[in-house]
Amino acid sequence: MVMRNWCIACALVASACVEPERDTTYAERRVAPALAEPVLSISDAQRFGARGPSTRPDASSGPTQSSPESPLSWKSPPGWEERPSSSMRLANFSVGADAECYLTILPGTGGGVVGNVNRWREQIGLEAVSAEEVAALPRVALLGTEAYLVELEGAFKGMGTEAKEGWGLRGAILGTDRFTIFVKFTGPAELVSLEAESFDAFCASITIREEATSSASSSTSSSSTSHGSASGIGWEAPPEWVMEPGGGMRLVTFRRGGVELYLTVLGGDGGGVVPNIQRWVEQLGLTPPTAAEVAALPKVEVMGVPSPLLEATGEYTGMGASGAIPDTTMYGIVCLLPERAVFVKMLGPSAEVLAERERFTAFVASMHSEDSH
Amino acid sequence: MTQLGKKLWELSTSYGTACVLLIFLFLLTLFGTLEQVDHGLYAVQKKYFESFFVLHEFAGVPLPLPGGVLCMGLLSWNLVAGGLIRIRKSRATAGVIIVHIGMLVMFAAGLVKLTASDDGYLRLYEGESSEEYVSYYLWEVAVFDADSKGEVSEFLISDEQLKLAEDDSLRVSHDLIPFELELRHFRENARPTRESSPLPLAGEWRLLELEREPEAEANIAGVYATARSATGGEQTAILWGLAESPWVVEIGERRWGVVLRHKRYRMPFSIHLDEFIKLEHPGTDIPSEFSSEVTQGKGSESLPLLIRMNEPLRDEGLVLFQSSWGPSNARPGDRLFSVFSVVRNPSDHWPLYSCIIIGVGLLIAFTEKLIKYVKAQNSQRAKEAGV
Repeated sequence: MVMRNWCIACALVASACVEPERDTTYAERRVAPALAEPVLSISDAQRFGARGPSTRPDASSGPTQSSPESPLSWKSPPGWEERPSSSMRLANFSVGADAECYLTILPGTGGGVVGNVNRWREQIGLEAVSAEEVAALPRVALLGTEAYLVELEGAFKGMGTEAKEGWGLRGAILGTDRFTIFVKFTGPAELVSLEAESFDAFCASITIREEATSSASSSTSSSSTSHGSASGIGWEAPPEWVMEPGGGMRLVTFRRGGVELYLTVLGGDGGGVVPNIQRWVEQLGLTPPTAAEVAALPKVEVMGVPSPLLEATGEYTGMGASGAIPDTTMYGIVCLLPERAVFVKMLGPSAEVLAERERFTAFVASMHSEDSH
Repeated sequence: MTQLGKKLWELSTSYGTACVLLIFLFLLTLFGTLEQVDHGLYAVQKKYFESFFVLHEFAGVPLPLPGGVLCMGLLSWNLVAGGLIRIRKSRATAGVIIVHIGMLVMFAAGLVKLTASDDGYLRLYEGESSEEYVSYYLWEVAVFDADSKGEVSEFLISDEQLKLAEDDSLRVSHDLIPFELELRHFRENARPTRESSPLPLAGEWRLLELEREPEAEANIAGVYATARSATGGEQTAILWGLAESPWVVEIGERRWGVVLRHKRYRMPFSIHLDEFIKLEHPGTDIPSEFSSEVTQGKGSESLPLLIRMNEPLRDEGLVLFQSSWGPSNARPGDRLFSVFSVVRNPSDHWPLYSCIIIGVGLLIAFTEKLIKYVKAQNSQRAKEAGV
């Protein structure tokens, strides 16, 4: 009896040690719901490329991402999963389970480089640093120039979250005359360090979209019917206005004599109505209005949205001005649309601007969303 | 019974053995919980609780321990032999025997859960429906007619089979598929690359093996696949768990999709997410409560239901728990998705039955003790009173 049991046990052990079947059939056959989308015969690069498995950040097959209304385009680094852009985040990625990276643009200084570096340092539990120390920060390529590179490690405390120990932050800040770009990568310190190269490559890949400029240019160059569109916004411009490529953050620029008019679109609320109007008023050397004064400004309808219209005259000291330009009049509109803010600004010598007022009003009234057509 | 057999019988059915096994289970729980911090739940479960032996490193010294399966197996034997067979049967031990039966039901629930259950998740955006849920960590390769209209007949290579392709090749064929599929170099965590890697090239790409993540669900598997047709044609590609689209094998005029993905389970009903509701603590983005209004579809019937934390949907042997939502960085107005943990466990209710049986057993045992005590007291008093 005992022998028999031993034999059975040995047989069981032996069967468990037999080499498993390597030339076999499918384990199961089942009926699945209908295909959600057609199966396309695509290349390996396309099968893998959308999530960026290529380890060459500059690979020509690397995906160039950005939403159509975004003024910027970029290449998604390997392994970074692009998420929908939201509010202030023009580009939005998750990396692994915990890390994220996003790109934000604010008009003007956006709080300044020093202020933002110290805000980031505070988020990660570090002391503030001086302007000299910020000036000594390393640089990273961004938009064809060099941005400040911030590398921090500590206990990261984001908005409404508990402090996370061993967290890293790698960020880039680029201030220009007209806007400030922030690229911020946060996550476990080890991962942030591993992805440093990808982060730098991502920053280097960011460029200003040419689509807006080219689409606007082509639509207006041939005739007096000077309607045009860019980034989903259409308009009809008076034939007297000479259109120039947008450039920078501008969708389009028009000139007539000394008067310049341009259209800009930013993600989210673009920094908000009040700060932008206050900044414009400051550019004219005037005392910035309070929020209540901004609220009391006359409204014009832009693409169906009542938007405040600023009309002010002063000594212009804003971007592009080598010195104060007296007697400059500015018309400015901030229009908040869902997910983006549209800015229309006209400025120049007071007399000339006043002469363009009617055409400005007609131009603003002609603006429309191309999406609805 | 021989002398040795008798000794073994006594040893294996003794209270002492039960105590030692319970101490081992305590140590496994303690060490497993501590190791979970660095190695994740899945790996620790496999190492400490779904194993026969464990080599735990304690202060740099390897400490061999019996694994969870061995401990539970021996404890079950101890309970059956010692607590049911060997125990003296009388009215006084009836309650204890019932308690032992209840404990065995609990052990049996664990065994069934270990061997016959599966779990996964179902992620739905508002307005989406699904009849399938997806495993957190098991993989499968599915082969199907890429131009199917309506329901798709899928031929599946299981996670168990895929593991065979780690060090050697696995060849799979079927009469209804006009090619043999050979799988090689299966890696649990990998990504395709165009740069150097010890693994071979397939076209312009090769797999780069990555270190396994502590959280098993974060691993993305990859495998090399070669399709060989009867006419001698051969096509090779890399299958990757995060690929955007299946690999298409063209044989004659037919196209076949081949995809590596997390194992899918079909449910006997569909779930449509009507609305995801998230309430936040005042002034913060921290959710205080989240729930999902869903419609459960069974054939032509539709049943509106609310799934919320601690109020899962239980039907047809499946339990759907409200587990999370996303995207985690969503802003007001962004489209949200709801995630349900789905568990298929045939022994889902057995722990409840076990607790009821144990409760009844304890009640009988304590009542018996109480009666005995009262009787002893009465007898004592009568003796003192000189009755």
